[in-house]
Amino acid sequence: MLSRKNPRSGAEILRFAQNDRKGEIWGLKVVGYLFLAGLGSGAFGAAAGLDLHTNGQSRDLTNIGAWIGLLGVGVGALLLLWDLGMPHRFFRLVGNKSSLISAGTVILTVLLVLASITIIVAVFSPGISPTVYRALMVLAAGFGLATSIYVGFLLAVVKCRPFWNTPLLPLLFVVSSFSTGVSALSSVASTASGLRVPAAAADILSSGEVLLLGLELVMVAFYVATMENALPQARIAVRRWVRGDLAAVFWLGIVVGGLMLPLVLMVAGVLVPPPLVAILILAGGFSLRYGVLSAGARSLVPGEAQQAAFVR
Amino acid sequence: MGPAFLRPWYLHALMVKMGLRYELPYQERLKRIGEDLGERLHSVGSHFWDDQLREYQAMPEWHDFPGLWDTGPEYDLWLITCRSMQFAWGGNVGIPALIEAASMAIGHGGISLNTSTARARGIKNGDDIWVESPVGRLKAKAVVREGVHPEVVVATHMFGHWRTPVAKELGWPSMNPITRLSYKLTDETGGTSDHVRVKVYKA
Amino acid sequence: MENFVPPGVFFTRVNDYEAGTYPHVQRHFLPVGCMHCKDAPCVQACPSGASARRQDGIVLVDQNLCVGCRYCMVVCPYGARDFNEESNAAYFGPGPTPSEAFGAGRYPKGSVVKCTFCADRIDEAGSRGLTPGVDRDATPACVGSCIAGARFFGDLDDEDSLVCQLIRARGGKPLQEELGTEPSVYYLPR
Repeated sequence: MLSRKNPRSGAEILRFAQNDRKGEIWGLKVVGYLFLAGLGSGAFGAAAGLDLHTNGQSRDLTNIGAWIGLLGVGVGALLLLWDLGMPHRFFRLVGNKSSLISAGTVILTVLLVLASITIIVAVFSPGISPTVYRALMVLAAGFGLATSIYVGFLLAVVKCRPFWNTPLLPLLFVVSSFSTGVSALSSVASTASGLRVPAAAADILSSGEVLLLGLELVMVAFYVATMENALPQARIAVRRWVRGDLAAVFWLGIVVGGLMLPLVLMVAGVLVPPPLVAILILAGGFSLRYGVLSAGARSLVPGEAQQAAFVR
Repeated sequence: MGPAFLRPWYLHALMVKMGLRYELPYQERLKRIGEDLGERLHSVGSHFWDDQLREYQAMPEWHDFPGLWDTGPEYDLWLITCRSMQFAWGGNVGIPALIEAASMAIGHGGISLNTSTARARGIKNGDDIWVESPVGRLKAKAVVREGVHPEVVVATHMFGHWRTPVAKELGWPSMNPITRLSYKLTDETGGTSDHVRVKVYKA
Repeated sequence: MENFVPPGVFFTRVNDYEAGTYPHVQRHFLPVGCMHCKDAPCVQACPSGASARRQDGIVLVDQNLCVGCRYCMVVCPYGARDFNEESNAAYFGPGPTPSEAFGAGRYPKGSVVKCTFCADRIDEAGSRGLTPGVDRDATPACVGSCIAGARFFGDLDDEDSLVCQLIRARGGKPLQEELGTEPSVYYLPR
């Protein structure tokens, strides 16, 4: 017998009971992290790679790359912390060496440190020994690659979500990371004045962008095609992408806006300011992460599909 | 079967153990009660129960039950009710833990109708529908399923307990607003008819 | 409520569904919850080591370690875990009922919770010499409250236990075996 004046309403009780059946466990904050970490690690890793390729002549690029890396991965990591149920326990994230999140936390922390060192070197000791700087760049390239790979694996190892459970996903994410990273890198480089960028690096940047976009387009097509013939939840995901509630994200965001349009603009040599193309590519990268995360539904146990339909 | 500590739950085992009998024959008793009741009522000049008194028979007679509803052909479906297993009699519909349990069972929170019936009216699972009787109409969510006769729609009515505190915020439908009490539709046990002729259409 | 489960959190669910088309329809009920897998994906995925498998096979979430990242929820093939969004397990406001107050603080706000096979009951009654699955006090609450007697609990490693006998006699199988998580919950077919 209740004597309390304000019972929690029946509607709220029902809302709680039904909330977790919506299926969304990871939301926009995680999508934001996947995108920003990919962008940051791709930019820094690519810049580091270019510097190694041009024998240490691309310092200006690596500085830009380090900033993009620091901000991208840094803000992404903050989003992750914000998303935690108990952010104040963040130091526990590295407690299980078998967990991809633990490994990933270490990897991205190292990347943040490397980016910070690169920036500090640029400001305080630009005359540092080329050998040391080279070693720094090797590490940066390696950890940049590692960061962009592990986020894909985070999703791909989940066997019960067939839309994610493919080795194609980490590959797709790496290509997307580097394509968004290179695009950000070159658009910042083109707008900044007084930069020394060796011709070799500039060439690789511009042709690399086109190549990565083309590769990504092919991979997305391949990804959708293989998922079409897979388990039910994968097919449902493809349907959501191609003609369902995620169609705008897929066609406008990923395919046309994020890949085809920038590709056509760059190949045709249309004089569009690079930041505009970069915005398209970045929006495409974000749409890709959003589309993949939203559509990755779990294979259902018997009766679950009906249950979801009947629940009021 | 279940674990050992569950088996004495059922009454029959106890009846057997205590050497008790179920009361038989039920029909003769019913007839006796009917005669007794009739005498008492008539002795004080009460005749309101006369129709029902005729029901106290050992063997039931057939009545044109559907014919008791003099509604038009547009009211083509029967709205019937059922009990919820989670709530049984319904005095407990305000208990949140049971509301959570009931939310997992089909039929709560809406009015169940057959898949073909729904399709013929352009209704999909989860749509808002109007269930209208000659007395009034009621808005509810459609629960489209196979386990319902195509000419029947079902509301888990729970004796109207959905109006009680906590439960009333759930917005789960009760058939009370669209049925009426009448002697014509009351049987000898005092049970009123939890059926009504309705038509259903999308809201 | 056993285990002081917060509002909106279900340690076990029952899928109520139909099969067939009218008039040949059947109604099925399938209780689903944590399968306490031998090779649990949640244990491997948990970054803080909060999800761990005990010696006796029960997979538990150490509420002191959980950070609420929800990766375990993402990887669980059975959707067995829930996220505790509220800090006070109170169905009615304002404030908890006495029994809710007694269980308060058990699940911090922002942690992941799941079925524990009533580990507390098993441990407490076990220390008094009672046998899980045979004595009510040492058996999970869901098994004891099933009015149809559909649930059984016991030692899978003991070949002569009731559960092992039933699995052999009726061909019991876990759900979604092909995912290779080696669940400890078996379903006896009709």
